[in-house]
Amino acid sequence: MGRYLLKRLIQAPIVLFLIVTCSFVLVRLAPGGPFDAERKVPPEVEAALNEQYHLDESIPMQYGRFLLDLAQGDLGPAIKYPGRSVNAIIADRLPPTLLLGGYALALAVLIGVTVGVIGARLYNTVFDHASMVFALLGISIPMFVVGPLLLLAFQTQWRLVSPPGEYGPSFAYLSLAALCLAAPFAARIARLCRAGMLEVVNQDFARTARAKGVPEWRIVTVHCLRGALTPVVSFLGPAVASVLTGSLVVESIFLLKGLGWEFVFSAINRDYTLVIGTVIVYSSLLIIANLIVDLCYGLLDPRVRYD
Amino acid sequence: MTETAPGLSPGAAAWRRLRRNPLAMGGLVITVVVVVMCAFAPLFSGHDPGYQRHWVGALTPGSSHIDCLRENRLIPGQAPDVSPQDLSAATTITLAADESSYREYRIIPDTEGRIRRIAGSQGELDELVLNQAALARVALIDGSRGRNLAPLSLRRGEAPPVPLFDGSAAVVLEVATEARIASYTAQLNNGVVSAVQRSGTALPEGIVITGDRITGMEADGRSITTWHLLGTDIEGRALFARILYGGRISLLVGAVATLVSLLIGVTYGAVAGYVGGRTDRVLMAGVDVLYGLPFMFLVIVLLSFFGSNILLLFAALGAVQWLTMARIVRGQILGLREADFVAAARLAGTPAHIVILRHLVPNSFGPIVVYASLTVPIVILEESFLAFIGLSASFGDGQVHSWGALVKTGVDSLGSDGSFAWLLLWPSLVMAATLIALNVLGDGIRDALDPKLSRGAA
Amino acid sequence: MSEPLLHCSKLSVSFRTDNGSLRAVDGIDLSIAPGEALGLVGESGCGKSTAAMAILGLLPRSAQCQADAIRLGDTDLAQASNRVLRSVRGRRVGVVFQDPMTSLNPYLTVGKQIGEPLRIHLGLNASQAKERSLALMRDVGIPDAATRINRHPHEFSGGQRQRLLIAMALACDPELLIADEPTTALDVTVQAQILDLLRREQQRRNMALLLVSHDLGVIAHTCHRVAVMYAGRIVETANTKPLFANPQHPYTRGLLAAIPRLDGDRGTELTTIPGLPPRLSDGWQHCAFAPRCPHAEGRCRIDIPNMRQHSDEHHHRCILDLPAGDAP
Ligand SMILES: Nc1ncnc2c1ncn2[C@@H]1O[C@H](COP(=O)(O)OP(=O)(O)O)[C@@H](O)[C@H]1O
Ligand SMILES: [Mg+2]
Repeated sequence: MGRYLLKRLIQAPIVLFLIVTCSFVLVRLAPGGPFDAERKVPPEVEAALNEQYHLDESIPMQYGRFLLDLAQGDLGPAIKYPGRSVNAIIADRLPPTLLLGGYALALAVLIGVTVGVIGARLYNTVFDHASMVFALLGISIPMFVVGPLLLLAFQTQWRLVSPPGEYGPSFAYLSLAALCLAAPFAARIARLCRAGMLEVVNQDFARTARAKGVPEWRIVTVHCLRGALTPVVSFLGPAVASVLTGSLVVESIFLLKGLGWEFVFSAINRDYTLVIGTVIVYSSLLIIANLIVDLCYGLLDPRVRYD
Repeated sequence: MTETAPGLSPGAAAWRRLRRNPLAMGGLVITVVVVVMCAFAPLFSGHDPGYQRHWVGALTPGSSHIDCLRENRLIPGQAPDVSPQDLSAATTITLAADESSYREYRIIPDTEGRIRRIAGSQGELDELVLNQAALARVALIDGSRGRNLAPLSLRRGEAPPVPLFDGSAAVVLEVATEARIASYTAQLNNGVVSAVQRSGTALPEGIVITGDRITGMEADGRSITTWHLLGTDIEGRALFARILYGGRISLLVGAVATLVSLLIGVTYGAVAGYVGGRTDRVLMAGVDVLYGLPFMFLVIVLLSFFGSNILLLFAALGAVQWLTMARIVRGQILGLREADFVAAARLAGTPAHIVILRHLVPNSFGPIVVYASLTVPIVILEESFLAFIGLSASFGDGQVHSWGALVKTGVDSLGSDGSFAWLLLWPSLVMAATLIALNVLGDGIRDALDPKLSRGAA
Repeated sequence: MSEPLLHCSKLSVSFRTDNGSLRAVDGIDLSIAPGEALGLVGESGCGKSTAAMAILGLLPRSAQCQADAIRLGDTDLAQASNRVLRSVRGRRVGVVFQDPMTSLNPYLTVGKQIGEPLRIHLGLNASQAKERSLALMRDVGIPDAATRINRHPHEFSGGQRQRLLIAMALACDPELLIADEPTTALDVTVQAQILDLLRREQQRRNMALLLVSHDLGVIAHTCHRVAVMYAGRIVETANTKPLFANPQHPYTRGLLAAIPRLDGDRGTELTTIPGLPPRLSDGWQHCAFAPRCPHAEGRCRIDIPNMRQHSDEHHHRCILDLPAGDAP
């Protein structure tokens, strides 16, 4: 366990370094500069801007400077936001994204596991079939179709939620966004959990429990749930990455100005520093999430050894 | 318990099981129909998916309109150039053209959707009465939308009687000050215009009329119109054609990126599994590390900085998906490596790449096919996602977009009252149906190839 | 024979499969007296486990079970509700399964698993259950029970896991223990220990035992009475001694000839029964053993033979009268 954590802790900076380098190279290799779009900018101004952001130095110099700053936790100035640092922007934009993503993930697990377990318990009944049809729809219908429809129904037609005001989104509105983001993951988790449960309840140890006179609901929850959750947990690692990706569109559909929204904006506007900064933050989130997921394995299954 | 009937190869047995699964067969049929319709799009829609007709604007499904061009020419000595349809067999073509002069009014809404100001070139108005239907047109400020209005009157401080505003932007009304409809007649001789007349007077130079002025067109008394199964988008492009041609991008990306992921994943996994030992550990540790990368973010950076073209898209999306494939193949090969027939081949001195290609990969075919078939819808979904944030490839001078971009257009044009709903509905429906079909088919293939795993695992 | 503890009459089980229905158990009658050990023996696939599981309603969903009655004391398990069945399982009837590697829950500590029937049926609290579990673990011979009670099954050897399963089945002091091939998955040396444990606990608790095995040798050591099963039917039943001394059914003779004997001549060949075990799917119109029987005659292929009485407690299902000397 200790060794495993250590290995992971050594691995994390390597992964981060890879990502930083990758995105740096990607961004700098690309043709054109950040000030291309603004043709009005006179050449002197552009040169001054380039100098301010060290874009006039050689690429290895820039890279070295960038790594140095990064080692001190400084992601540099944001190119498209004069006078603001990337750190400040990220500090500003991260909380809504974390809230949305965490909420969606929790919803997905809660809905998915509940539906999956009940579906397996009621195998081959109307509930089972109906929930699997919904799961199929959830997997197949993109969230950028679901989102606008949800908004059209709940906001425009029934006026149950209102768009985010000065003090951020209301709980109901945020729930709607989280639901939209959670839907495909809830669907996949429901399928995984149901399949896992069906497999586990047919295993010998479930029969042993039945032979002991254990009530059926207790067999499902105490004896089988952990086994059925194993595939769900291994899905959660990639799912965190997909939830973060999904929040890019959900944030833009639901007008939640989080990190995803900022990321798309900065990528399209070629804000070098902001793009790299956001990618680093996303990667760190992912690394942490994967670590938590791996530790969950151990909690679920006593046979798992970390070495 | 599933017993393989004697004398059936595993492939044939799997196909038999697949055929007995009505859901999977439904998926197969829909997939085939969609693929065929997209691949042979010109057979199913005569419209050019990229042809903009601003003067037509967004038409509801099933609407028709005069089938003229952006610029219509009837010039003696040349073939008539007034319609995508072939009119060379006609002997007379008549055109009705609106030659009224227009005056522009800016209608500016307040936050409640009421009219705040009516600004004309002569100053502000309190009321604007439009009584001649075809002669008032709405255009957005950027000139991208044209739509004729029914007779109505607009009063300051009141909401417009028909949906006029879309959001808070002002609209421009063009109102005819003096209605004048001219009629042109062209005589044709062997598919070539021989003479053009306007109300009886000959025009030796011929005429050039823009599409937005044309109010009627007949060839030999037959009205030249065209019909749109799914209507048109705000630029007046045929939606059905756009879905079919856009599907080519979506499906192509889905298929090719999956192939790319197969190529990388199978090679990588096969080498790791076959060589084993230290190499295997290092290679698989690499996969573990890569699993931690936020690939989609890098893809977004890549596409937005390098510009999206379809080759980049193939490579990028394929690169996102190969990791799982590598793991699956490696696991399979690791298991098979010790099998007798592999040992025999190795002892006989067969080179490694031949052993891998001849024996190991074909024997891992089942899981590879299952995973690949479930990857296609995932890639299509990912591509649509990129298209939605404006980062996918386009065909036909940037006029033909994949399904995700069509859905995005639908979302953007969806008025707060649900107007233009068909622009969201149909692309979404086709895309969802295709993805459902592919998923069901993939599930079916998995169940057929690996009956142990059935019962619909995700 | 005294009033039986368990009495099944006309118990039949069929499975729905892709290729139609399969009759795994075909109208068997079974009786076990209190404190008696009955061995159910037959080749693998003849329906022993299915019959044993049918008693407690532990069959998979694809099985359909019919019986005139399955009486346990004065409860008819054939008609009983799920609730009643649950209160019988683990309380009045304990079950030990064949494969100790998969029959224990890998996710729970062994203490929790042994204590579970105590908590469910006897309403003990956690600490009482733990105390009793500890005693049970010692009873079945787990060394160092006090520390290992909080371990998970994968930390125990195969033989120990089987002991744990036995402890679990014995937890509520059942009247009947069903042991389905309890030693088949174990090493030979461990087999003998587990059989000894079973026999000891059976005698100590004066508990009835239904021991299912494909191995007559296992049965001979442990059981008072034997029922031999072939193709879903019981073909011979007798007390252990007379059955071994004077088997009446040719199938039983075949089984006996197949037991390896430590004391036997090294020279004599171990015989096996020729031919394949029968298919169950099509339902037999005559003696199912006839195709493999060295004594079969034309009349064997006419009708399904009825149970015949050979002596007081010795019944068999063969229409031939085999010469006594044929026994091994
Ligand atoms: N779940 C099941 N589905 C279909 N057939 C089964 C199932 N379980 C057992 N059988 C069949 O029933 C017969 C008896 O099985 P079983 O009772 O396990 O035999 P034994 O315990 O004597 O070895 C076998 O032929 C087996 O193939
Ligand atoms: Mg058995």
